[in-house]
Amino acid sequence: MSYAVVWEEGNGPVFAGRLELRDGRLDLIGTALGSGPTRRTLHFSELGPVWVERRRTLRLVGRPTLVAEVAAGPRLRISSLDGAGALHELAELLHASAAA
Amino acid sequence: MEAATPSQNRLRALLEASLAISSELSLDALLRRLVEAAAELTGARYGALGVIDPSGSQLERFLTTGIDDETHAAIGELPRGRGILGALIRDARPLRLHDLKDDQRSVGFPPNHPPMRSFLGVPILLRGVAYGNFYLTEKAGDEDFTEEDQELVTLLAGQAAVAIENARLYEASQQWSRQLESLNEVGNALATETDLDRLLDLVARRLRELLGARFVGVLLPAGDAALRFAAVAGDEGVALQGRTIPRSASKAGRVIERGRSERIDSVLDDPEVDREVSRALGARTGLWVPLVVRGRTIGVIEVHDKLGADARFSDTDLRIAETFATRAAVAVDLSQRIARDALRRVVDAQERERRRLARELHDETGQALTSILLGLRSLEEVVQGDEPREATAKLRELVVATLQDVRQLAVELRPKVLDDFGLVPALERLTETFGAQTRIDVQFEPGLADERLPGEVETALYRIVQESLTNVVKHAQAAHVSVLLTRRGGSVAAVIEDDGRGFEPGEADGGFGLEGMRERIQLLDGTLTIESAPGGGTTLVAEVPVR
Ligand SMILES: Nc1ncnc2c1ncn2[C@@H]1O[C@H](COP(=O)(O)OP(=O)(O)O)[C@@H](O)[C@H]1O
Ligand SMILES: [Mg+2]
Repeated sequence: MSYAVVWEEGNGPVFAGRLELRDGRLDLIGTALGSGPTRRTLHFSELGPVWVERRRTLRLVGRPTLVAEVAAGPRLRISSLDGAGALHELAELLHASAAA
Repeated sequence: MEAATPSQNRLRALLEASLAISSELSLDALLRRLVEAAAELTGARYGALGVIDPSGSQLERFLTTGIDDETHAAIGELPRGRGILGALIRDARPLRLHDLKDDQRSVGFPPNHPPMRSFLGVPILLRGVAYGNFYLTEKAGDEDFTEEDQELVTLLAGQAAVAIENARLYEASQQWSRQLESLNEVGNALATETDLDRLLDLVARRLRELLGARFVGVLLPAGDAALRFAAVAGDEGVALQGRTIPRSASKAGRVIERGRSERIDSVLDDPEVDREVSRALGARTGLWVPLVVRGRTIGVIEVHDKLGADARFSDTDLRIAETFATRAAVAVDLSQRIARDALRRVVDAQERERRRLARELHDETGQALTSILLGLRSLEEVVQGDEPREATAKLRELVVATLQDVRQLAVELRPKVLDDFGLVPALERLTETFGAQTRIDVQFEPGLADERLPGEVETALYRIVQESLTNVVKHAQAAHVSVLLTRRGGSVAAVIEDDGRGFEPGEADGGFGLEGMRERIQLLDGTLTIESAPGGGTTLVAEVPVR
């Protein structure tokens, strides 16, 4: 399962790419303006609370945004480019994986 | 009454023998009559007639006269065509000998064989083809066979040749008509199967049975450069199911190009044959027959190895395969059309549904939210106290965000601008949003005049650009992407080019993105071409004819 997304960690650059969910981890593979290809892997065990932020000022690229607390790092924020439905699907999957 | 002279007797016997040919005797009975006549006419104690099998190397029948059943049984098997008999098979010329055992080619007789000395051998020939030989021995009174004997037997041999040839033709025509019958049966079965996969499977299995072949595969185009084994029959071939082969470097591709079938007796010696496939099958021989409907080649049937001692296929096999392919092609074409119609209905329905939902969101929900927003504004002006004012402001903020989401959702479902203003403004909007959100540099070149294209073309190209851009974000890791619309003669093309990591188009096995684009473009009789290589960026061209 993969999604087209943009993401940001803390106040770092905004990356665009895909998100893959498998084997208890989340892979973000993409690129940011001025930076080369990048890959970020987060295990579900590293993730704290996850929620969907709808307030305009807290959105990433103007879309509802999935926010995840990361144990040893800044907040991760992800927006889906595959349409709004995909974000909720993603949130549900993360909740289900965290509960498992 | 005057007694008949010996030569009158001979003529009568000859006449009787000839008459026998036109009667309804079986071939064996007829040949027996002829060999008896030959022995009688020449005064031979023993006579025999050997028929060479169609391969020309050994005897398929051996009929004798003058040898009783007991002796026959004691001698055992048929002669295998060595010695003098063999010499006559290989060299079809009459042969007269004073004593058989004096000839250097003689290999002697088997045990229990009666002694034989004088010999006359005459080939059974028709239009230069040798069908067998007459063998006569032990002329009465210890005499040698004469020139006249030889001439008489040559006449009988002519009769025998016609009879054997007729019997063979009859057999061949019987076989051909049996095959035609099953061909017809199979053809009817094909006509009632409309599910494409099941139909292709049926085509492969039935043709394999019909030909007695080890492998039959049905190849259909997969994109412009490849062919795919859409169905296979034969145990060793199952691994090939779904496998693609390049069009340019395969016999199947060549046969499609030329639109002509081919029969190859040794695949190893033909450089056009796809090595990988023939090696996977251990194939020795092959037949390739194009599937042609109304002058259009829609695929090709590939057959390997006739079962049995000889793996080669005959002309008859080729004819059967061609006749079969003609019927199969019509059935495949029909079921492809049915599948296409079904797909078209699904795609149309989906688009209609999206348009309806988008309109509903935009017009109804959007309007309602706007009214609420206006109401909240007026409310804000009249409410007293910080708390209610703050609550109203929060509410208003929520409504604004929701309105934004609803509008975005409507655009994503199906942008109104596509219906109202056409492809160019819709793509302008799409590429702008794409660039803003992903920060990938995107160039849009609307190389079209201010014209509207047919609705289904606009929709298809819009969706293809949309899916391509999604692929660029997901897979390319590109810095730049360009979207170009061009008009070339009677067609319109959308070209999406990125400078990302590229991929091997033949090996892409992702989701339904590329596959969906391809299907969509095929519904419009267009083509989708992908040029890409690992490390070299990707160019996708979707071209659709426009009337
Ligand atoms: N622009 C591109 N750059 C690099 N790879 C691509 C591009 N477009 C497609 N691909 C490759 O082709 C595969 C198939 O694409 P697609 O059918 O859209 O499936 P999906 O996007 O769901 O993976 C992708 O998984 C990817 O490997
Ligand atoms: Mg895709």
